[in-house]
Amino acid sequence: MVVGVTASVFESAVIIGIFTGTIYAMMALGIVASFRINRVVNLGIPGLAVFGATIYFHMSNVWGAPVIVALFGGVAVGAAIGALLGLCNLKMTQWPRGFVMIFTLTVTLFLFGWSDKILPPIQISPASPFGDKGGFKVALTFVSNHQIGTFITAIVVTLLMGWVVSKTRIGIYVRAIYDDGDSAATLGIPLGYFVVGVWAVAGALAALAGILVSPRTTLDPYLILFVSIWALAGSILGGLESFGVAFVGSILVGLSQGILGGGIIHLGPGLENLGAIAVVAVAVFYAGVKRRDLAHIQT
Amino acid sequence: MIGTRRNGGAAVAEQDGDAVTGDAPAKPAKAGPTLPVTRLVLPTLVFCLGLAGEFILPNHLTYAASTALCYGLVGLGLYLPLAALRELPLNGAALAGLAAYFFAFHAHGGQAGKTALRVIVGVGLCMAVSVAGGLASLVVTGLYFSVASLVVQIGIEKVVFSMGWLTGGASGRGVAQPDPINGFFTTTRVVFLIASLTCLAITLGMWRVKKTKILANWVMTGHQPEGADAVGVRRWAQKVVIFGLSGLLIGVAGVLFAFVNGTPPPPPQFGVIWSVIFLAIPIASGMRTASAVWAVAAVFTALPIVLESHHINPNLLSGSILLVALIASQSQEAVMARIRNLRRQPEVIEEIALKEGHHALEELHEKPVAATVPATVKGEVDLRAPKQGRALVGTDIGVHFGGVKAVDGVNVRVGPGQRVAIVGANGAGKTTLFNALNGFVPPTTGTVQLGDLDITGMPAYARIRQGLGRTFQLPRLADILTVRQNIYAGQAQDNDLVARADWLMERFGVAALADIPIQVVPFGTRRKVEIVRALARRPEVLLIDEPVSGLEDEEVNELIEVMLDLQAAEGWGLLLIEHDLRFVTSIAEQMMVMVDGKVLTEGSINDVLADERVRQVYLGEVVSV
Repeated sequence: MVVGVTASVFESAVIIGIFTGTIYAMMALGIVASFRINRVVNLGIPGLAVFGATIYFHMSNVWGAPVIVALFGGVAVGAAIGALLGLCNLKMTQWPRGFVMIFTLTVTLFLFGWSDKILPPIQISPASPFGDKGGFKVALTFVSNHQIGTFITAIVVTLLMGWVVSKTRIGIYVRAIYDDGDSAATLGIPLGYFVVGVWAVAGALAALAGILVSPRTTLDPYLILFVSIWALAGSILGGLESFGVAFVGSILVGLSQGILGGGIIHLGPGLENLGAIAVVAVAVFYAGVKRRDLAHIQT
Repeated sequence: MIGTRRNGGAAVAEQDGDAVTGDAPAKPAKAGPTLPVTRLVLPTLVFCLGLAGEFILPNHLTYAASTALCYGLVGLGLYLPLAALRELPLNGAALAGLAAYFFAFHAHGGQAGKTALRVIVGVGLCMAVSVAGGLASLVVTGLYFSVASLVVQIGIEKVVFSMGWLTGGASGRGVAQPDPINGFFTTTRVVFLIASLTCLAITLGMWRVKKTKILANWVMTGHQPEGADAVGVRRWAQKVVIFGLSGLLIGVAGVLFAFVNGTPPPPPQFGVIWSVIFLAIPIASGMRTASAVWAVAAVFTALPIVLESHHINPNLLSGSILLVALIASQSQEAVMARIRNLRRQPEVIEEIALKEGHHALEELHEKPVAATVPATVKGEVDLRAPKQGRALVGTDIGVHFGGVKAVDGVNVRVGPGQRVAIVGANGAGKTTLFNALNGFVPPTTGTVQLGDLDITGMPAYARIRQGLGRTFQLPRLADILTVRQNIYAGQAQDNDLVARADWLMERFGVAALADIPIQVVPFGTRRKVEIVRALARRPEVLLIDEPVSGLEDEEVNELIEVMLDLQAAEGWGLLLIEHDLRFVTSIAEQMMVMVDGKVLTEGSINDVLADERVRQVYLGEVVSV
């Protein structure tokens, strides 16, 4: 079961794990952003990611637009659909949150279907915004510029979002709405603008994630759906509230997959996901029990 | 004066004196709700359509109908935790897939006996995973439970389906199907017949379960967990049963999936998106009846067939079905009300409204509580016989939340027949002390004893079973249950207890509302319902939290009268929290004043009220204890 491990194999497994985790982290940021305003788990993220990446591909490969323009185009479309989702959320304040969560999944299915109509019927990997060539070798693994670019982008976005939420007036408003929307409204905070705005940001982040993820996963909706599920798992570690912990959680999920799937511990086909599942299970129970205890103290 | 009044067909003697003779039965007969004929329309329609399908549908549609039955079974399986526990399990598809693949792999080429064994093992495996997931809901609920169930879904999808030795791998194996019977009953029809008979049996079984008192326990467990504890319901056991049944239904559906198709459908059919689509079936049905679940499952199956010629993208189609299901579930009430209004004349609507309880509410306001049933009626001795009384003793009780000492070193004792009131400002720690005595919060320090029995480590439901009764500041009653169902919840199938509950409903003047949902009952009446529920179990010590908040003065007087009368006759101890000093001084003998988690003073009512420090507390001055 356990294979002899050299330092190079271990380093490679860790590197693979970190970059896999980075992909999850990009998705996780969108999930945390939307949860951070009205406590809805946004299962529209995979749809937004696929559709944003589809627009990016279409603009750059079919229309011949420069990569940077296509990138902004994909992100802008993601933001617009995210804002629309935010508007729908405002109309669903009386719905149970679980039902709103399922509603966001319908959006994913619609966007998957719409992407199918736009994309040619073959597996497609869009060009990376950081270029398809270039990179260097670390241990046994080749690290591409795309992976480095994605990693840096994820860190920058994580820090930026964390700073906005914790240090700015906008962040205070967002936290106030998250804590108690009705009370926030009585303080004169424009609830509607903020919900729509934050969901637009979540849509933009999801589209950006899709654009950065799809060069590796292809534009297969179901592959991206699974990336989002692992991302959800990573974000659960932080109780869906913290961008920083979501980033770290996603890296942990990626690392566990890298180590179990990368030859250090070989359990058998399909079992490389066991570690990630265990990480997620522990995270869910930890976050759930913490939330329950907190609720108990508050009552 | 002696008179008679009808109660569900049984005459109850009324009198002003202490004793009465006569032949009137002591235990009032139950006035159970009658099933409206309209409620039979949908089940009859579904049954007839299913029966007709066997003979008139072409082969390919018979196959589709069998698939619809599989969908419906998964939908029913998810309906249980969704409706009873308000949990959204996102692993229905994976559980069905697990049973389908396990059954197909191990039943491949086997004899009938072995095949039956594999059905049992496959369904059992599904039940075991479902129960394990369900037990998680004891620790995490709501969103976190949904995500935990998603983890199970991913685990099965990504790990179990790849275990060739368990499920045969992603390709699955073939399942033997029955041979045709004469020319008309093709294999597809025989498969449909077997599937529909299985589903009919399951539906009848569920219908039978809905008629039992178990339903109230299930709903109480999910909708009011603390209320369930307060009536002695073992929540973990209820959850095991609910998720076990859910796993059973989904497991049978999985086996049928393999049987109907001749081989398990490919793994993507058991993916996470399908889990959500399956979940949409009970959601779209409005979570009311099993027939509605079957009807929605039929629509979900029929739509892709009907729209096949339009070549609609499967994702767009699934998304549309989900969206319609969600909107239907959320606007069902309004739509149904409109349909009813179209069908009925205004006077008929008024009549129905009256039948549904409005007249009962009016009657309640006109009828003084204490006069509904006399203090003693011949033959009622059993219903109000005192239980062997024990004292509830809390010693050095402390409850600390981090650095906050919500309760700090409090001693409290309530003996049989004693009435003790706890008063104090908001945040003084009164309810937390109750929670520690009752088992809702583990005390950081101290012990709780009932007589000689140390109950400190017992869970709340076990303390209730030992002899504590409890009501809450905000009544913990399940809105979707009727008054009667709320009161019966947690009662053993013991006719004496049920009779006592019915008698107490009369005594507290809520019998007229017995069969209307608690959500339309006024707040003050809910308090009485909760007291009835607690007293129905014959508690040795009753803990009631702010019982008169929300009651009119007249209602308070009536409540005092009934409580004192019952307590004098039955001898239980009473520990109450109340801000209303008029009520406290009318009902309690002893009084304890709490400030900042500690006891400021205690003793007889007069002594405590004469204490200068108590006056200062009530006048808002700072007091150091």
